[in-house]
Amino acid sequence: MALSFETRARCADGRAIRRVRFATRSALPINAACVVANGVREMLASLLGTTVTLRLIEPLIPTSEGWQVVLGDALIYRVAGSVADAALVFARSDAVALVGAAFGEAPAGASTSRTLSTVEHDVLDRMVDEIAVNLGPICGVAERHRARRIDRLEGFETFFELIVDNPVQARIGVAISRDPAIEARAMFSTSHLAAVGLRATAALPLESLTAAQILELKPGAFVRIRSADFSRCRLAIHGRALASGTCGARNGRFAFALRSLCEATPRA
Amino acid sequence: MFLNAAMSAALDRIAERAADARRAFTPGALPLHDDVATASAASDFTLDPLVVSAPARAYFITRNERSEVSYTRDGAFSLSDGRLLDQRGNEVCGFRTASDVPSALHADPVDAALGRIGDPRIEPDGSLVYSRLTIDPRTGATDAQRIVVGRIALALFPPGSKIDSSDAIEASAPRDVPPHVGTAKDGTFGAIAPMQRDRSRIDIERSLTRLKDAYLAFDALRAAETAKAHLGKTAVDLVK
Repeated sequence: MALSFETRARCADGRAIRRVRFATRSALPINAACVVANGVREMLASLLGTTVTLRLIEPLIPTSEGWQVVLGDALIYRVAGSVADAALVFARSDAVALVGAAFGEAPAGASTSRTLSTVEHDVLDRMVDEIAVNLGPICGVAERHRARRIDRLEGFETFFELIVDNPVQARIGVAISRDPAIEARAMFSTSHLAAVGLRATAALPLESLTAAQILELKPGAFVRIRSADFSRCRLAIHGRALASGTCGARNGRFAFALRSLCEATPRA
Repeated sequence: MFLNAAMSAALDRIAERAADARRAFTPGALPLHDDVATASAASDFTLDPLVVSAPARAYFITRNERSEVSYTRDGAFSLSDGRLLDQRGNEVCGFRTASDVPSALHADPVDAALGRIGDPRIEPDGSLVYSRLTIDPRTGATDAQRIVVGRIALALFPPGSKIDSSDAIEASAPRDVPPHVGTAKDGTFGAIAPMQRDRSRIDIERSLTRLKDAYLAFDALRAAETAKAHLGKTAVDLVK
């Protein structure tokens, strides 16, 4: 889980506020996804015989509703790896666009809402096989990454997309069966808070005052402090008692001599 | 009391004047009677980039779940599951790609489902736009890709057309009067004003004055009818 902000601001009282939220974030390294994307770009460039412009969308862990939309009526290919399984997900319109580009069709020349013919399916299968070769960095090395078309995809965790902008507009979805385990990192220590300033208060508990004495308090009045009161001084941080000790003067400066630390008490 | 045609019409006028007064604070409302219209259109600034003000005389086109088309001047829109909706939850229509027929505007369903729609906004030419963060795999640099969902459709009715609206928010097209449909800044329509919400075009003071006049007219009619009834009764008594 990671702390993030809502993508949309809520407008109220003349302010636009984006609320914080906890979001599930994939631990798949961006660099690994970039290696895959670069490999796919080079493969498509050699296959289509032209320069390919391709971008990557950050890996994430979709919700179950998100998976339903992503998979929808998509064509899905499963690729077995040594560490995890991967899947390539093509929306039907994107599959038509990619296969059309392989046949040299103009990007907007044909409808992308149709279904693929048998020959086109075969071309797509071969194209996917070539794409699968590049999946090693995310699913582990295999002797031969061979893609197998499947009808349903279940139990997969991570998903990212490759956005092809040129020569056709298409998206290639990449799903991974399990998100990489997060590496153990150095634990948080109090040294990280060492520079934070806190307001300290040294308080003297005085003898009790009568209500009449309190009512008579005004500027210029005196409240008696007995010498014994100095030894019952309490040190507090933001209202929380920290130590008890004696207030007084040392080497010409006022000081608090710590006698004992208070036991840790839960905050009220 | 017997209600004749004149009194019935007077009651109708009261109802219409009351409707105008009620709509004086409804954003984008147009008056039923021109004599209570404000001198010029006005709008309020809002921080919401999906709230817009339509060009003069133009209407936004919306479609409900039964695919019934209606028209509205209130451009307070929002995105829900990637769909652009008006205040009543009706889908806002627009032109996607090169289509000639306005259809409901909705963002890419995968982007919507995966929460990738960032910074959605409507631009002066009516484009519904959002940002999607992408990474260049060669450099690793992150960039906000501008995604255009489509352009909001606008409708314009011929001058003098009677736009029928029961609530001043949604209106239906006059019978047998097809609107001219286009987009902002297309030569026919002016620009859409982003982050502005139309005020009502109804002057509250004038509409209340007219409502009071309508009540006075009704009272006068009623007094005349009462007097007429008394006269008739007297005449009948004399004849007897």
